[in-house]
Amino acid sequence: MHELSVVEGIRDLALRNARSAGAARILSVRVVIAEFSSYLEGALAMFWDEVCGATEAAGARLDFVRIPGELLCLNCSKSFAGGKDLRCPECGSEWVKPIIGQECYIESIEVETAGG
Amino acid sequence: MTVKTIQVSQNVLSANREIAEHNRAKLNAAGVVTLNLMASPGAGKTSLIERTIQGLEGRLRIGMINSDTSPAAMDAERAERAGAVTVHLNTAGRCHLDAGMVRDAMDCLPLRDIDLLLIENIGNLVCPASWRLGSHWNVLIASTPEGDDKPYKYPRMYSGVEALVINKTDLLPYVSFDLDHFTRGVEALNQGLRTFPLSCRSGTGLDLWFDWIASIAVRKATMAL
Repeated sequence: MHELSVVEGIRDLALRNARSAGAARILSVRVVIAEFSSYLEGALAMFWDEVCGATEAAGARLDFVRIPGELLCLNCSKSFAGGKDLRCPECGSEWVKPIIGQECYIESIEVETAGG
Repeated sequence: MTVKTIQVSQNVLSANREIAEHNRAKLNAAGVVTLNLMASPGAGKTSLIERTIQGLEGRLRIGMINSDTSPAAMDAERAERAGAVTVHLNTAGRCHLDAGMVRDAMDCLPLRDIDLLLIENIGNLVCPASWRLGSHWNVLIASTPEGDDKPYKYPRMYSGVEALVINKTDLLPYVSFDLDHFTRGVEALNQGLRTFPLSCRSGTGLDLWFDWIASIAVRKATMAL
């Protein structure tokens, strides 16, 4: 389950950003997850509450923004949008590789700071 | 209490990358060339490591970080018997090594007395490709019984390495492995990839592998006391 390590990475980054802003609590974390990032949203969400435990991120919401990817056919060189069918629409080859859409990053966090 | 939004825009693996860069700096300072060896289970990682330690005996002093998902330390023991200073790392079920685990394992090794560090990653063709460790060379060990379709099925792994070993070439007459088909797949993903076809069992091809390692790693002068 590599999602566990990814979730820990998300938590650590969120905590670091929250602390340097002097925040007391993290309310939500917005994660951009591209179509071919190789991380499963459900698996990330499953570990989230557990890894946040007794940190300032406890109880924070994990929101996902999905972005589409693009594939390149290694047989005929056509590039095409991802989706359900990952075969090349031109030649039908299954020999394809993602050229856009492998990223997964934290876009922003919503925090609560003490004082006004 | 005030609620505000902070823009982050940082890759979820950026924390790992920072630790990897720190590891690399530490290895550079100690003069240790490091290989991250990745493969599917059974491709022959431990056999290649054993052969490499024996083949470079007297030329390079070798350290090794061996990882497993369980406390089973038989691979580490094999490397130790072959003559390497070895740390056994138990990932407790995790499917890949990350830079933090390697940093902790490096702390247990006498880096000043080592010229070459071999890191045996968890047997897996998926996740290890995403976690950089700070090694100088990412090496993939493929093997002929796995079949010639692996570059087509695990493109991320095949695109993310700087050297490729094709182990078990002695089995080519007995398994369906079309070397041309395999090579076409590799070339499309990683053009000009440095490739070493060899057999740990028969010894064929090992010399070129040893020579390459000897050309990238340098035996440090022993400090006079």
